[in-house]
Amino acid sequence: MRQITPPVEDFHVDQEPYYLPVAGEVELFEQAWRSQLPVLLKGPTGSGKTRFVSHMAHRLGRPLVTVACHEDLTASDLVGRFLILGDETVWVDGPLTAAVRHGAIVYLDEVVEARKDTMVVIHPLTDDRRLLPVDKLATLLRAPDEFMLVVSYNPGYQSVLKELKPSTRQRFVSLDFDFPPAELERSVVAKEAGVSAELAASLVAIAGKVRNLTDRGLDEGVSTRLVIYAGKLVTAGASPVDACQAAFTRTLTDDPDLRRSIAEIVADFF
Amino acid sequence: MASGRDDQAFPRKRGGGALRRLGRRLLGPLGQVGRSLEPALRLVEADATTARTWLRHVRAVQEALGGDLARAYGDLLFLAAERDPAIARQLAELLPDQLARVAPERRRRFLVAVDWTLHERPAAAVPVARNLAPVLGELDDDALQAFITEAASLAKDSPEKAASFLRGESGQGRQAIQALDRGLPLADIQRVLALYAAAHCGEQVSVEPAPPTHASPGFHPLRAAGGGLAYTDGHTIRLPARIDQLGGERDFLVYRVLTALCAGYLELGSFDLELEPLGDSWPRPQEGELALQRFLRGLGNRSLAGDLFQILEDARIEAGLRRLYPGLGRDLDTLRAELPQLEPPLEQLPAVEQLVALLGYQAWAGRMPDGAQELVDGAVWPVAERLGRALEDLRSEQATVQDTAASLQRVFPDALALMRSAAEAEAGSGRARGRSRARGGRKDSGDAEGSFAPGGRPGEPDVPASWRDVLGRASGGMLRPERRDAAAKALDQRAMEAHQLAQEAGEDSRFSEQRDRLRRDTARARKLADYAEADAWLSAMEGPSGGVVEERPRAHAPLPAPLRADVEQEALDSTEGSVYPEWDLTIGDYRPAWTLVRELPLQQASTDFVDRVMGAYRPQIRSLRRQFEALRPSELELVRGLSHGDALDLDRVVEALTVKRAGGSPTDRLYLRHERNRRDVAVAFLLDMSSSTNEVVSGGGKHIIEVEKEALVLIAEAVDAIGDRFAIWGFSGYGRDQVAFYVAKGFDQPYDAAARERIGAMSWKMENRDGAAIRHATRLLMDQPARIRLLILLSDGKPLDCGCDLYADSYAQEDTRRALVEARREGVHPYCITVDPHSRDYLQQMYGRGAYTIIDAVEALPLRIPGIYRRLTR
Repeated sequence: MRQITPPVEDFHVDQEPYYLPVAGEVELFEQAWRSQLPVLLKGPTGSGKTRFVSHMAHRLGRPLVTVACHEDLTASDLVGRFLILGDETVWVDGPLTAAVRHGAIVYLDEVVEARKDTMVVIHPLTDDRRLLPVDKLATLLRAPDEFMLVVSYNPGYQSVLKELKPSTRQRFVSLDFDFPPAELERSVVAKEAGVSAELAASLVAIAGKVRNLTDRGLDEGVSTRLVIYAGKLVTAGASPVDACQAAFTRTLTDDPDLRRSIAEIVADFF
Repeated sequence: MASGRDDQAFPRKRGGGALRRLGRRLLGPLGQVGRSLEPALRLVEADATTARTWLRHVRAVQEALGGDLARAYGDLLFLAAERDPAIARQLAELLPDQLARVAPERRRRFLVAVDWTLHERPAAAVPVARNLAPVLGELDDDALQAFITEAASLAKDSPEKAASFLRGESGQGRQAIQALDRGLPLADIQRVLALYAAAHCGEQVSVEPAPPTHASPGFHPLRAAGGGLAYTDGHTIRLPARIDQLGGERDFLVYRVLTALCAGYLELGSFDLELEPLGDSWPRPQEGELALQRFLRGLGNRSLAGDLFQILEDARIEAGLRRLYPGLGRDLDTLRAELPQLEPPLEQLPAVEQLVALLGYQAWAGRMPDGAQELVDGAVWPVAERLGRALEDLRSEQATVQDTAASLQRVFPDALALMRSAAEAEAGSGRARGRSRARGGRKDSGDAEGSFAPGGRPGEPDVPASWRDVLGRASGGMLRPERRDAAAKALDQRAMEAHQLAQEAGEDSRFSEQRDRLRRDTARARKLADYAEADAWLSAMEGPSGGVVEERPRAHAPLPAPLRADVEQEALDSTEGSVYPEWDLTIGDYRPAWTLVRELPLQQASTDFVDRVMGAYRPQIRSLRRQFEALRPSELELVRGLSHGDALDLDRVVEALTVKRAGGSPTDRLYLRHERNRRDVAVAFLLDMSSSTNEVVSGGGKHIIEVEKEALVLIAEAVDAIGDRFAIWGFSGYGRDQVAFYVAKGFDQPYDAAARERIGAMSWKMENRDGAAIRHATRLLMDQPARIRLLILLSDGKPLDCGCDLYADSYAQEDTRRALVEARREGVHPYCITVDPHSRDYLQQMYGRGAYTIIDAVEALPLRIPGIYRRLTR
């Protein structure tokens, strides 16, 4: 029977993704990779977790397999399944199996969103066995030394139904992500959105002001990603005020008072 | 209001003479009523029933509200009794309660409104008296009259309609209030501005209406637009209750810019002045005095120093804000163009005032007035020029409050000399130069109020009116540390001490940081103050003190209602309790069997409360039910991957066949089944019923606990619609052996009229020992066979129990945290919704990130809570 594994070239990170280190996370990730430890990235949405992983994959010269987890994602979606091609039955590796075979870095984004049974296949990969059982092929894949499992998790996501169980959590070493300090965030925004240093400074300053409102009705502050979006809109020709209203004010909240105060803060800057 | 009626002939319908004698006999022993005697006699003649009611209440009114209002109360009843005794009797019962509900400064106005209604629309007097209190503050006199007239015409159709209109509950009433208003009321945008200010300075500031004063609005056109009522003491930003200057959105702009300037003092460190770098000969610090106040006091004339400092510091702040917020700079320019610029009548001013005027002009216009050098006193010009240069330097990016102080310190002796020579010249010539004398006379007065707010300083009689305002500009200044209340002063004092300690320890410390940290910690102080109030009630009360008392009267109600203390004490004694351990931080271990939690019954009263809430929120409840019903999972769910079931799962059969063809061994889990679906959530709402929930929510006139109960009613409807099992509990208590746990609706009880009555009967009690209550709630939740167990705590502050053993601060927080950890370990998800704006730090510590929500506008709680619940269980 034929077995298909997606080719490793599909997963190479060719261009170096732009990433500004904040506090030693690059070194720590490298150390974890060398020690063959799985890593848990914690942090609010849009704080650079995904970008960091692809940056690290490039830096370490490893292929990167990214899986955006969702509530219909099952274990067999990760491991692989049989398909019928014409008259033939073939096995197609799922992303996790492919990653193990290639000695890649596999990144399960928002892992709590996945179904519970996915944890069952992940567990033996996270301890020193580093095994992936593929029941349907009746094989046990041993992960090569270069293989690494990375998962991400957003603790601010306030659903009691979606918490990482301590037993799962304790299988990882953890890196905290937060919005970068203003200095760095300005460089990131200027670089990513292609805007002037001056505009980047204003956008970051607005984001900083709006983040002061977190917990005063705002569930999460402006993410760096949103700041970049605002910058990109400006680059594409939007006025700064319109860009901020679209990227910040309307995105963040439906509470009319909050919207108005955010709009006023935006108006303070332009 | 009734003084003019004394001469009127009384209607003597029923042998007035005899009644009058009877009245004298009745009232004889009531010597203490004193001056009320005469109106009392008149009242007896007009209607004896009214008089009896009046007699019952008047002493309490007198004690609670003062003699003036008590007299007005009597006069009003007399007027009513003349017109219609039935109205008078109702008013006699109503007014004391209603008066107590109105803020003290509005009580007279309230009586005037009722009086006016009695004259103009007697039939509407009772509904007006009953319902007007909450909206009274929102309308000026003309608008109030129009509003009452409208209500009176509604009252002809339906008294209920008029009542709800008057309370501002009906949309029509709201609209009427808005239409009748002129300008922009602060209440409409208070929260927007508070959020805006908090975003700017990152500190926990609040925005409140300024109490009305007759202070002159000052020189600065923008500040004048705020009527001199915009200022900050470093804790609260005060703004005028209404701005009616430029109309529409422009008025909002005035509000916004004033808020930004006030927040600017905090953001740019005006309160962070350090005295040490400025020399060491400063006056001894006074109690609760900031370095800034001490500095100004140390310069020799606080009034003049305050004026000049305010102008210089304003220039620095404005320049700093313009740099940070270009858009704000443009708004400042817009307003500047629309507001009139004042030209100082320099030649009419005394020398020292010329100096202040010149500097003010320089600050606003960036230059001295044209030809000013010829107009002013020869000695003034060089000083003004030096100060003007210093002012321009302060606009630079590096300038701090230290620079403002240092430049004032350098030039001030010359300014003082100007004033002294003028004063001497005056003394010599005997000419009255009121202004200089005013400053000179004040220089050493010891009261702190003098530093920025010297009160009505007399202006020169020949100075134009607009410039008389200029002369009083200091009192319109926006930086007013002296306006702090006692609590803020105490906080600043502690912050200063912490700041000094940190500095002595060689740490980098800013006063404002220390203060912000402490400010986040004031919740406890607030609770303790409440406690003192509750304690006063307890000691004034008969019955067992220290018990968990049902139905205590509102703190400000003049007439104590009968107490049910005995009933509940009995229940407390006879109910068996559950015993729980408590974590003792000091020994680092549990104290076994330390707390006793007893479930107490709630008095079933009536469904009035719930009915009223359901009425007021009817449209919202309808849409809530719709939303939550949509979330209700479909009755049946397909369960796949079973080895036995109702039908074959075709997808899996195909998969199994391919596996088989490929030579593998297919799974036998090929069946599916339709299963009855349940969300399988059990949720309990636990209401903190401690005494601090009796606090009145700013603006709304409701108590926190009422708002929280409203929230419970709404969420109960929503949860009922979604089909989750739920319970509603409350807790309070006093001391570790008297933790009271109230069940408004248990898991096994239906949400029926009885449960609604019990929700209505929840009221504020004593303390909150959160740890014990959470442990009990956890135990009850664990009895529920649900996959997800959720405990939602509605709170208004930190855990605190000042019973025999003090349960407060870190001890209480650590125990609560432990109780929450235990709950989580058992599989209960705790979540806290609080209305305490200063709770972020301790909540983060107790509940952990993402397990709490702070509602900063309490009124919004009922409408916010369903969204929170939906997010928690999505």
